[in-house]
Amino acid sequence: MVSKAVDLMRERRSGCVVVLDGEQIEGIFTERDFLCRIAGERLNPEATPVGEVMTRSPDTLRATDTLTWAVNQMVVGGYRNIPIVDDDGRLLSLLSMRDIVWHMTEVFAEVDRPSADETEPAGWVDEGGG
Amino acid sequence: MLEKLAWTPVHKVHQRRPLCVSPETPLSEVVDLMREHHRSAVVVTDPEGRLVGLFSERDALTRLSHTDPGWTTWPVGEVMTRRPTTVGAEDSIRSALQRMKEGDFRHIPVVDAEFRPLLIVAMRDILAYVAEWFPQEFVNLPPSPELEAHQRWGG
Repeated sequence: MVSKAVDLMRERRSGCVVVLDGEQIEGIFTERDFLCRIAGERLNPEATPVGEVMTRSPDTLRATDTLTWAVNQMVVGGYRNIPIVDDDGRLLSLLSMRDIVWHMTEVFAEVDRPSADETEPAGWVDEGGG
Repeated sequence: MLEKLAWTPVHKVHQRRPLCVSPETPLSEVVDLMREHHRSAVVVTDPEGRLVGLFSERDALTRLSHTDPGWTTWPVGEVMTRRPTTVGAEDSIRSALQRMKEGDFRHIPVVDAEFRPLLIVAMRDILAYVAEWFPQEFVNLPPSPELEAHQRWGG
């Protein structure tokens, strides 16, 4: 039931749970699904199977796919969590937007503030010629 | 380029006005507003329009009761995140992200000198803005990840 999924998400401080059928991913249930499909519909979490309100067949990525793909899917698709699978579609891990953004903070932490003349976009430069 | 991006003022990330409610607003109304407007968080303001709290999808998951259907009548002020961390409009993306990481939250309100919310910046907004700085990487993506070249090929 949804209540069990919610307890797990609270316990693990996770924004989602992945729903498996054996080793195959059936769906994903997220905080947003809880808001829109449980709270928004005034359903009882203790009486609603998670399979009825999860997002079925979520987009996945392989571990070798680039971060560009992950960002593209998150920004365009509007979701925050992407299951990472092996070549047989079995779940390996979960990549969250938070993982990417936290990595970004580490990169930005090492970046110095640009000088004043570097903060403005370059204007037209006259290179001469006819 | 990375320096310019990191130090970009956070008000340039996007221009969506925050969804504001009063602390007395019942949760049923707050949830319906969030669904209707496709928002992952709302800001809670006092009668003078000053920020007093924030209610997000995470708060809905962690603070709504499973067993008491009466949650719909609870005032949002009882379950919101009080005195959320904020940034000013001229604070950098770098600074906003650092505060979000330290507090482990996905939304940060941008406030003026009177502590009135101007914007609410979500982690997704920052990610989308960062992606705009690298258009070639995203425009050149093939239709699916399996088609992406990992080595040079051709004749």
